[in-house]
Amino acid sequence: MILSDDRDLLEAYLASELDAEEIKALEYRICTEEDLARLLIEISCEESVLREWVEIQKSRVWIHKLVGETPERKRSFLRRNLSLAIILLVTFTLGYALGVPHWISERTASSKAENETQLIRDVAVFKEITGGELKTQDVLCNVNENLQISRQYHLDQGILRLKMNSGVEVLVAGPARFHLLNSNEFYLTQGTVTADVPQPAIGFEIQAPHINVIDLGTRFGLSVDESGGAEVHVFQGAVSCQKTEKISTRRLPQRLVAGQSSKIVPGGDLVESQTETDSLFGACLLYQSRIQQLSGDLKLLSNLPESVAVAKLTSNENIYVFQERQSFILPADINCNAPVQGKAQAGSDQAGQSQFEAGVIKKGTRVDVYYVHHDAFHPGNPKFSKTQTRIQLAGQLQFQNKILGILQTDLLLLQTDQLLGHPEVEYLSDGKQQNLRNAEDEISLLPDMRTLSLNWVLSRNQGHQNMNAMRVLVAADE
Amino acid sequence: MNIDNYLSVRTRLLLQHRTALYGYIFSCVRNHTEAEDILHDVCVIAIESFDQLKNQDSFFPWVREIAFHQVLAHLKKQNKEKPFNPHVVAALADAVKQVEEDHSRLNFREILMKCLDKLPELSRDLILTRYDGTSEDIAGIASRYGKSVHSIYSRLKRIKTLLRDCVTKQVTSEVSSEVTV
Repeated sequence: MILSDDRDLLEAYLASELDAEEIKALEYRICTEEDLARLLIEISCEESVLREWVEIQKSRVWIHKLVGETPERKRSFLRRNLSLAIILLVTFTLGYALGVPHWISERTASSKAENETQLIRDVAVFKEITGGELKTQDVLCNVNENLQISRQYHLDQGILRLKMNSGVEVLVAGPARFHLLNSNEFYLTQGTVTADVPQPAIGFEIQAPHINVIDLGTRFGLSVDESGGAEVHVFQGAVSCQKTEKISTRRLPQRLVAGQSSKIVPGGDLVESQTETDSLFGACLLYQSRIQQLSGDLKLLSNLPESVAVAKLTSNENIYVFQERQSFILPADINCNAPVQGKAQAGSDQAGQSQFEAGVIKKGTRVDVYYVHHDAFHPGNPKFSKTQTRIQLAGQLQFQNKILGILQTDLLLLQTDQLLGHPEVEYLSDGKQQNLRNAEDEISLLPDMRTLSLNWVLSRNQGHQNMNAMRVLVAADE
Repeated sequence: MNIDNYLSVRTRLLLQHRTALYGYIFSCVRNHTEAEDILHDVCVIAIESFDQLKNQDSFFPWVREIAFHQVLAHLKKQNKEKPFNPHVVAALADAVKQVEEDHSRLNFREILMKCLDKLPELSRDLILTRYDGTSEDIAGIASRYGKSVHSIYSRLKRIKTLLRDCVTKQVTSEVSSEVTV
């Protein structure tokens, strides 16, 4: 809703007269209030016309001074002046299109690149690796070593985690060959990478032989095969991607948002991809979520769900899992069902209720938080199966670290939705919906204390609205 | 002689939508020199890649997308000195589409130009001084006119309100005359 002083506020914004806090607050409103965004554009358009009008007035004065003004001359010279301005605009634009500025900018860019490659400097840190080796010029790299621009790196197999100096976390799945262009740019010759880009590093760029991807605040993945063919998948936020070509034939970039993907083959154009995200990025996404393994009917969501309220995220085939928080320091004590030492089951054949007892995870504990969710199609939905109204799904979920506690009753979930839930996910569509979530069917903890075995049953008889859901808190490394 | 006859379709379309394009770019970068540079680049890319446009009716969404990417690339370069929020750039890209639809329908630019022509002498002078492309700020203008900064702000605000009222009246009269016809 437009407030009485919004126009003044927007004019001050355009004139760069607001402080950082005011800008932040106003930009939040611009993103969330369409009419405010429109008003800002309207003010800018007015400004544009005012400036254009002033330019016309100035040219009239100039003509008047040169030749003296008569109404006829005024009209005639104004027309000629406008014609001249437009011809100059077209000529300049054509000159530009013919490549003179490109030649200059190419020379500038190449000179800049030469200077940059001469400066061997650290731009990322090699944080960890699993199942493979990272080498540069046949020399083995060690964990916590700095990675430098101008060096070619080769990962034979496994998964590698890098932290760019800009703050971007990059996972590389082997076999992969890459080099670093600077602290916020990465060149992938071959292999699969996923990137998690924090706010200050927005604009992170991955280049590949035939594609260039620029992050717009997001999580995304890029996979490049031996021939240079590539696929980009967006898990959260948005990216801009463009086919890599000579400047003289550059194409329009594509914007991809969460859930969208695009691919390119050498010599071809960017087209929509139908490839399952899991088949390309599954290993990286599991690793990124600090999940060791998922089996059975469990499936990790690559894109964050908008809602897990009733009938919003439904499947008759899968129990969905997603990470809500990573390395989160608990701001308060959390009541939960904590594993009882020595009661872990050798298998999942026994009911696991006695393996957990009421406990508290203390404030200040660093945890990873996961949401496990199963809601089947409801009567009335075209996908509702009248022949299968009792749905049983099972599988195992193995985390990288030890499980500290589970929350599998509606009360415990409700108490923690706001505190532990992901801020962008809707948990309950209104405050009245209660007693709908529970997961008390079968949950067993295996002896490694990192694996949960689930055997969940959901009934859709007589229009039952309940869901199976559980929140899991896992110890996180410093 | 109509200058339009000598312009290519692509140039005519760019001129037709330049106000909205500039408005969008300026809203994002908040600097006239940078906005002009970006608009120039957008025009060059649009002219170069015009053949990719399948339907001229979708020219504005197409060129707006070019502007969106150019603005992002520009802001990205400046990110260290001047952090930016890409969500604002995207929200404004959505907003400019609607504004341009309204402005094109109402012939906004031409009507505002006519209203500016009708301004009284003093108001014209103030607008000419304020928007003459020099970097003189309001304090400088206030000192030149021998007025307080607040008084200059108020006067500019009144002029803009008058201009908006004038545009609204013109639009209303044009719409009613269309209805009469």
